[in-house]
Parts: sequence; C-alpha cells; structure tokens
Amino acid sequence: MSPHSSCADNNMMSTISQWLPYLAQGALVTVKITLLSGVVAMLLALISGLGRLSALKPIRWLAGGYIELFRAASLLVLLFWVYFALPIAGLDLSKTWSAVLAIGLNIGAYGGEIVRSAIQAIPKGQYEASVALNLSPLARMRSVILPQAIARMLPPMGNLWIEMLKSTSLVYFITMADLTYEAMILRNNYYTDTPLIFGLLLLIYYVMASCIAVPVKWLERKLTAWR
Amino acid sequence: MTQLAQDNEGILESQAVWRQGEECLYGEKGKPLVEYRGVTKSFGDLEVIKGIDLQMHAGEKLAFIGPSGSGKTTLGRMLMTLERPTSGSLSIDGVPLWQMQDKKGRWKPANEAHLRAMREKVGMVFQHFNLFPHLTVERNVTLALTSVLGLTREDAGARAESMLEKVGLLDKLSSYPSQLSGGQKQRVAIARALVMRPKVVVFDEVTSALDPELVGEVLAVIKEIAKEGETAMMLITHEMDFAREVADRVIFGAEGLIVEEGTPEDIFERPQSERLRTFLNRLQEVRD
Repeated sequence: MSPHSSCADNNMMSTISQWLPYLAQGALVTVKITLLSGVVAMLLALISGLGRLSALKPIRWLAGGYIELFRAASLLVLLFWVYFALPIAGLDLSKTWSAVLAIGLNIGAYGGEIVRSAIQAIPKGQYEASVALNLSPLARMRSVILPQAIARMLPPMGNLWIEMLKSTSLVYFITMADLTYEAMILRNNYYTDTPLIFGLLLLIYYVMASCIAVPVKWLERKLTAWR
Repeated sequence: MTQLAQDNEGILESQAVWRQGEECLYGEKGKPLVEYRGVTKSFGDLEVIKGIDLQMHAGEKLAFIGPSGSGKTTLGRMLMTLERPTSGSLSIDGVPLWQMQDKKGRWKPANEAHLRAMREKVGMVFQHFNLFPHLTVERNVTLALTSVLGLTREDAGARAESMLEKVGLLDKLSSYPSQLSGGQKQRVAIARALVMRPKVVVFDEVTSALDPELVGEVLAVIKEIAKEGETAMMLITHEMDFAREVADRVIFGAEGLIVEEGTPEDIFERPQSERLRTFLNRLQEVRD
C-alpha cells in the first residue's frame, strides 16, 4: 500500500469514527422501536389469528376486519394518522408510541394471517386425537396445536420481523431521530461522503437484520428437531 | 287434583312403565354400556347412517365389517364425539351422549363440559395413528394422564411405561414418532388410548394404512389386549380373520344400515343375506 492511500484510509477511518456515536444513537432508537412494535405486533397477530378461527362469528368478523383494514393501510399514512390526526381526536401520543402503535397495527395484521394459516395447516387428525384423549379446549391448543403451528410460523415471522425493522425508517417522516434520520443529518454535514454514509447505513441495517435472522433460524432448528 | 299434579302423575307413571320396559328390553345381560337408538347421520344431502339400533355391553368385542362407504367409521366417530348424529340418540352407561338436561329438566344439545365428562369412558385409535409428532413416545402417552387426569409426571411415566411394555415399545420411550415404523406408531397410539383406561375403545381401520408386513404386529397387540377382557372394543376392520378370532359378535353393515349380525361363526360360516354372501365371496376372490 502506498503511503498516500494509507493516509486516506486513516482519514476515512477517523471520519467514520466521528460519525459512529451519532449512528449508534440512531441505531438504538431503531432497535427500541423495532422491539416495542414487535411486541405489539406479535400480540395482535396472535389475537387476530386465533380470533379468525374462533367459533363465535362476531369475534371472527372483528379479527377479519382488523386484518383486512390494517394490512391494506399504507404504513406511512397510518403513521401520519396516528401522529397528526389522533391528537386532534384527543389522543396525544409521543413520537415513540405513535410509531410503535402504527407499525404494530400494520405488522400485526400481516402476522395474524401467518398465525391463522399456520394453525389451519395442522392436520385435522391432530385435533381429533386431542379430542379423543379428552384434552380440554385450552390444552388442545397449548399442548398440541400451537407447538406445531409455531414451528410453521417461525420462517414467515422471521421475514416479518426483518420487514418491520426496515419499515421503522419511515419514522424519519415524523422527525424521530432513528438510524436513517441520523444518517440524513450526517449527509447534510458531509455532503461529499454521501455514498459512504449511505453505504454504512445499508451495512448497519444488514447487521441488524442478521441479528434477527440468525436466532430465528436457530430457534426453528431447535423447535423442529422432531422432524 | 290440579291439572299440573295430574300431568306429573302421568309422567311418573309413564316413566315407571318405561323402566319396566327397559328391564325386558335389555334382558339378562343388563344395561348396555353403549346404546345406539335410531341413530342417523347425514353429511349435506348424503345420508351415511340410515337408522342404527345397536347395543354393546361392558367388555364386549364387537367387529364391524362391510364395504367401504357403509358408515362403519362414522358410527365409531359419533361415539368418540367427533361427529354429531343427525337424529336418534346415543348413550353410554345409560346417559345420553349428545343431549343433556338443563336445571329445569328440559333436554338440550350437549355442551363441551358434558361431552368432556362422557369422553372419559371412550378412547379411539385412528387409521392414520395421529400421534403428536412434536412429542416423544413417552410424552404422547403421558400427555392426557397429566393434563386430563392430573397425575404427576412420575406417576404418569410409570403408567405409560407399563403400557408401552405391553405393546413392546419400552425401548422407544424417548424416540419421536418420525423415528418409528408405521406398525410401531400404531402400537404407541394403542398404548396412548388404553393408558386412559376407557370403558370402550374404537379401533378405526387401524391396519389399513400399514404396509402388509407390519399388519401382524399391530393385530397381535390388539389380540393380546382383547384377551385381558376389561375394555369393550369396537373393531372397525377389513381383516376378516382378525374379526373372526377376536370378536364376540360381528356386525355386517352396508349403505348405512345393519344387514346382519351374529357370532363370528354365524356371519362367516352361515351368512343369511345375499349381500353378506356377495361381500364374503368377493373378499375370498381377492385372496385367491
């Protein structure tokens, strides 16, 4: 390596290390929103997915209505709606909770379909065997149907989590200081480094997505050892 | 006497008459364990059971034979509460399975609590085993013991082990169903049903999904259990030699009706109806 390029490398490294604290701050916000939205989304997914399979018509309709409505909603519009429109209706949420609610509602609707289809994919004989053993309706679900359904849900749920992680960048539009927001600020100050900044941004999202994909893969293997 | 009191009198009288009739009806064998009375079942426009009257006594081994589509399986599934009869009544130990009385004594369709109380007396072994693939052999057998009967894991384990020993699979305790052969799977399924000590077990074509060389081991296990005699068995089967050997009584059904019933000798040596003769001859041709 020539001394010149080494010098340039050193320059680049020191610039990046100047950016890192800002990017880390933004990444932390992104992680926080992802985790909180994830919890809301998974709860909604389980409730709406099971709800669509309920024996009671009103519950089926309610769950179906939620899934159809929020799956079709544009996440950005939903985010604006929660952050800008709800305060006028009297519900004033912080930026964080607005983001968590909007993303949770949207992703939860996708998740509901995953839960429903995974449960419906369990062969009818499994249900019949659990009836023949006189298991209670709750025990049938908990001990027989769900453990098998969860194994089926994991791969599509893993995808959904990654989808959710990436969609958190939309909170930029309600001026939350997430990873994307911080990168845009850096771009204003280091305009010539734009390719490097955005390259770094993609890399960080990739690493964060891997932090979801790898454990999901591991969990899937662990939960399907019986296959 | 008021009208109401007269009505009551009338009801009591008719009940007394009915009880007497019941004694005549059931004869020396006493009350049946399982009773079908005028049971029918339709799926949409298709009537698969066209009116069945049938009694089964405690410990009795009953074999159902007949061409496919004769409604044999549906009869068993109704007893296991997997299908609801369209009309008629089905009772176990004299208690209607699909109806119950409310506080005022009016009859209404059975709810889940009533069905659960009744299911304690019935078990079922399925054509396609329906083992729980995510649970070990041991857990397949102990699940209902701990979850339904409230046994501890140790007690349940001990009971499961002695049952698995009976079906010759003690060495497979920690295997998963995917690691077993079809015959082994079905033997686990038999252990799983019997470990609950039901009064009657429905065996629904339990060898139909097996490779021919695996049929023998499953039938041998059922014969062994039949010898112990305590459990009544409803054997829905295409294995005529097996039916002949194990059953106390054989029932030949076709197109949703019972055509002929009797001892294995009656049915196989002295078939009365043309339908049964044709059925047996056809089986004979297949074998020759």
